Amino acid sequence: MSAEAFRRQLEALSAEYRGSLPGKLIEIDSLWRDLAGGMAKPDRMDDLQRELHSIAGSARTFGIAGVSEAAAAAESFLESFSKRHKLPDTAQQARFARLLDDLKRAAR
Amino acid sequence: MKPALQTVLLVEDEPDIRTIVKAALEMVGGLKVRACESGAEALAAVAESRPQLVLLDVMMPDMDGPGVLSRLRGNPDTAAIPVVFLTAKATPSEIQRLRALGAADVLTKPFDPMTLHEKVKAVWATLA
Repeated sequence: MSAEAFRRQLEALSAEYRGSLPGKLIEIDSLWRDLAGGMAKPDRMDDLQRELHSIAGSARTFGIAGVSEAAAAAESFLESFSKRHKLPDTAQQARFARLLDDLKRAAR
Repeated sequence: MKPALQTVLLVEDEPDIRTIVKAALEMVGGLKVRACESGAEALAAVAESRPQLVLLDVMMPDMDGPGVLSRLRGNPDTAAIPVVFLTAKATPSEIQRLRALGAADVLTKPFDPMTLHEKVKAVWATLA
């Protein structure tokens, strides 16, 4: 076991992580659409925040800092609503949708 | 003389992070790491293997990191095991809150996988 062996494993893990990101973002987008459309209960915002939190904490470690930052911005925006289990109003929803767009762009 | 850090219990619900932290601490840091994906699994693992240090994620479903720490501190057999939190929410107030709960230290995500072991060992070195 060595740092060099770990570097090789890290490269493989990073490639795997990048490959898994589009699926994660589709799930996030789908959950957000369900929440905004009233098809999911507001307490599902906890799940949405957790997914964003996960990406914010992991993407930079795998070498994609922009994704980490965009996820952190979306998570931060959602946090106060999630705590109260209260959906953002229409204007705030539009703001959050833009933050999700930023995240998707960063992941391309 | 204080023994060198050899065994770490990692508690992290996110599979990607769990894999990379375990590999980094083992392959670069030479540590023996047991990894758990939940607080309940961690409590069972601590009872079974008594790690020298617990590296604990904060935000987890079901039992979160502070909940695990509280359970460890409430058991005389595990109360002295140092706990280091690993968190993506590293605001000064959050770090202060986690230290006040009894954390030995708070490490932040994202982290550099190549140097994470140095940070963990540095925390171990500061403990009495």
